[in-house]
Amino acid sequence: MNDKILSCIDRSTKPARYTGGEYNSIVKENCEFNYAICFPDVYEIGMSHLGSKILYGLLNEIDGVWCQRIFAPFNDMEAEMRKRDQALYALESGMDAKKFDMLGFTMQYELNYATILNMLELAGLKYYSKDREESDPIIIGGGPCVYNCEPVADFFDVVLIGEAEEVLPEIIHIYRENKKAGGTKLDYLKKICRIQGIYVPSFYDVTYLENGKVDKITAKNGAPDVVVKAIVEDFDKAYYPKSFVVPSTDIVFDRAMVELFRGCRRGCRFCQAGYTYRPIRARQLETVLEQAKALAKSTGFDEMSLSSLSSSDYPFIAPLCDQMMDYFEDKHISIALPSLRADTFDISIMEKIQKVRKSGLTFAPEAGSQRLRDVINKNLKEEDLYEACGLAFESGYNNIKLYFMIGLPTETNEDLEGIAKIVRGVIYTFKQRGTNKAKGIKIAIGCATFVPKAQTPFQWVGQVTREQAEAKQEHLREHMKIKNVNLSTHYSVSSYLEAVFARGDRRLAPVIVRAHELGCNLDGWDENFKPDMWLQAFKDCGVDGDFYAFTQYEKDDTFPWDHISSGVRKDYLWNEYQKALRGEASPDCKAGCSGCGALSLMKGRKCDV
Amino acid sequence: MFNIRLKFSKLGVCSYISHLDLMRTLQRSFVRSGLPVKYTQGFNPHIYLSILAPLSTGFESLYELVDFSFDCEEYPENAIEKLNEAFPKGIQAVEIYQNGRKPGEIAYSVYEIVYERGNAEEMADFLKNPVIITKESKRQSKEINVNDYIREIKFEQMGEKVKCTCTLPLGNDQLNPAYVSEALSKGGFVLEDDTPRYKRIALLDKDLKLFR
Repeated sequence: MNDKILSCIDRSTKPARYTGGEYNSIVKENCEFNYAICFPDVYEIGMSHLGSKILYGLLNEIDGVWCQRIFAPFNDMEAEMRKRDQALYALESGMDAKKFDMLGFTMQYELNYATILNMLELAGLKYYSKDREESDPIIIGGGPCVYNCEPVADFFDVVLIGEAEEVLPEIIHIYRENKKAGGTKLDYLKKICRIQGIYVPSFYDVTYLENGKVDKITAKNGAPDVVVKAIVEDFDKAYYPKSFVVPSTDIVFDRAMVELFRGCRRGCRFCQAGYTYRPIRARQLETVLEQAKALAKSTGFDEMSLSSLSSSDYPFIAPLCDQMMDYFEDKHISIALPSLRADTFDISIMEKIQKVRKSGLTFAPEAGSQRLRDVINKNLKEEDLYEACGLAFESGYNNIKLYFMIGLPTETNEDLEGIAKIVRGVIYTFKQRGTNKAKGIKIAIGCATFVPKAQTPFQWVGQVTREQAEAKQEHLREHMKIKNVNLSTHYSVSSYLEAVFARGDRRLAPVIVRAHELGCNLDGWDENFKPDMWLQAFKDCGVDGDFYAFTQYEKDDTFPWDHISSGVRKDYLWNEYQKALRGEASPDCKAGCSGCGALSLMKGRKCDV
Repeated sequence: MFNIRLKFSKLGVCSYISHLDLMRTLQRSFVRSGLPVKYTQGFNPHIYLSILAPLSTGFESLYELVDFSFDCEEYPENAIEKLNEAFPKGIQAVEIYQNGRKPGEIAYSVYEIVYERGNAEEMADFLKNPVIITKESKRQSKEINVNDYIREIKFEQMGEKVKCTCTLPLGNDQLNPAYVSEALSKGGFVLEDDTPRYKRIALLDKDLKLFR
C-alpha cells in the first residue's frame, strides 16, 4: 500500500476493511494476467459472498493469473480517496483498478447498480462500454442479476450467464492468446461470444414497439440468438477452495461455508434462484465433509455453514450433520444450517448441531392462506409449520421469525388475514407445547413487497402499486394487534426500484447514470438510500419507471431478456403461471420430473433429488 | 497446564486491526497453529486470552503482550514457529515465556512517532513550555498540560522527517501519543493533513524498567 492509500485509510472508520494482507490472501509475482473481483458493496458484505471466494481460489490456482479483490469504499473512505485523487485500488497489491486486464463485477441485486457506476468512476473508467478505450480493462458482469441484466447491459463488455467455474478460466485463456496474437478487444469478443454462458451485450440490437415493449432482439457478429447459461455438470468434482481469506475484522457471515447442492426441487413460483440454478446437482457427503475439514484447518473459523437454497432438502443431511458433529464438536466448531424448510424440519438435527449455541429460528411460509400458497407453489401446510414450531418450542426455543410477502398475484384481504391466523396458531402451539414459557414467546414478522422477477412464472406480472401495497399493509396491521408480535411492513421505494430493474430494459441505463450523478451509491444501506434522487433520475431522463414495475405482459410478448436462457423453457414458465392463476400447485421435482427444460444442459445426467 | 505470555509485533497493515478484531485474529491464529490452547468453560466456550495493554487502531507495535494457556501435560515444541506460520503477515511472535509479571505493574509505554516534516530542535523547544490541551476519556474531558504527562521525550532529525521518542503513562490516567501530536499542532508543527506514524516500542514498569 502506498502512502496516499495509507493516508486515506488512516482517516477512515473500520480501516481494516481497506488494507488487505489478511491471512490466506494471495500475493503472486510476475503475472501476465490480472483479474479483480469487484464487489459493488462494502467489504463486510462482499467478503461474506461464497461465489467470490470460489472464483478467488480458482483463478489464483492458474499459472500466470493473479486474482485480487476490490470492494466499494464506504462514504468516509470514498471522500478521502476523492480528496487525495486516489483511484479505486485492489486490496492485495494496491494496484489501480484501471490497470487490470479484467474487472469482474458481481451483481447480487438490483440496488447495487449505482454502486457499479461509482466504482467505475473511482477507477477512472467510463460507464458505457462503447466509450472505453482499447487499453481499458474488460468489464465483465456475473451473479444472479444476469438473468435480466438489460438495464446495465450497456455498461458491460461481457456478461457471464450462469456458473463461472469452467467458463471464466476458458475466456481468460482466450484473452491471453488473443493478446499474444495482437488481437483487439473486438477480436476477443468475437472469439468468445459463441461460448455457452457468454453474453456480449454490444452484439445485440434491441428495437421497441410503440406500446413500450420490446419488438425484436437481433444478434450480430456471429453471436447466438439465445445465450444459454453455463453450468458445472459434475458438481461433485467441481472446484471448491481449500482455504478462504480470513478477514481481520468483523464481516456479516464470518464463518466457513461448504456448498451442499445447487438448484432447488421446490419450484416456488416467485423465486428466481429456484429456476435459474437448475438442474439440481448435489455433492457427495464425503466430498462435503472433506471440504469442511480442509477449510476448518486452513481458516480457524469457529463456525461452519452448510449452504444451499434449501439445506434440509440435501439428500444426506442427517448423516452429514452427524459426521460433522463427530468431527467438529471437540474442536469447538459449531454448525450453521441456514435455509430450513418447516416441512422437512428435523429437530433432532437442530439439537445435534446446536449443542454449541442456540439461536433463533426462521421460517418462511410466504403467504397467509393455503389458496395463496398453492398459487405461489410454496407447498408448505399450516400443520407442518405448527409441527415444526411445536418441536422447536418443546426443545426450548421461544424466538421465531416468520417471513411473508405482500402483493402476491391474486392476493385478497382474506389471504392477508391468514397471516394473522398463522401467527395466532403459532402462539397457540407455544402455549400447548412450549417448555420455556417463563420467558414467553417472541415472534417477528417480516413482510416484504413482492417483486416479480425475470425467468420465473411471475415474470408476466406487474408489481402492486404503492397505494395498493400500503392498503394491504394497513389491513394486515388491523388484524395483527397481537401481544409479543413485532410486525415490520413499511413500504419501501427500494422494492419498487427492484421491480423496475428486475424487468427492465436497456433504456434504463441513463437513469442509473443519472441516479449515480445525483449521489446514489450503496443503496442497500439505509443511511445512504436516496429514494427521492432515484425518482428524480427517472424524471430527468424522461423514463417512466411505473411502466417497468407495473406492466402486465401478454403470452406472446417479447421480454427484454428473451435472448438469455437459464435452460428453463418459457412455455414451461407460462404453463406454471397459468396453473398459478388457477390456484394449482405443482409437485416438487422429487415426486417426478415436470420437464422444465433445465436437464437439457446436462448430457446423460439426472437431477439429484 | 502452562500459563503463557507471548510477546509479538504488529506491523504494517496489521496496525489497522482494532483491539477487538485482534482478539479474534489471535484466536483464529491459535486454532490454525494446532497448539493445545485452553478454552473457557461454560455454555459458549472460546479461547481464553488477555491482551495486556490495548493499542490504538492504526498504531504499529514491537511490544505487544498477550496471556493465554496451553492445556497439556508436556510443553509443546516449536510454539513460536507454529504461531508464526498461523499469523497473518505483519503479526510476528517474538518471545514466549512463563511466569510473566503481574499486568498491573505496567506503568509506561514508549512510543516512536514519525512526522513527515519538521525541525526537531524547534519541536523539542516548543514542548519545553506548558501546552494545554483537552484530554478526552470515556467519562470526562479535562484540560491538561501535556508536559505533566510526558515522562521522557526526545526529537531526532531524519532528513525532512522528525522522529520523536516519548515515554507516556499507561493505566488509569494515561496519555495517548496522539495528544503529543495535538500539542505540537498548537505550535503549527503538525498540520491537519499530516499523518504521523505511531509505533509502540516498549512497555515499562514504574521504575522505567522493561516490563516482561
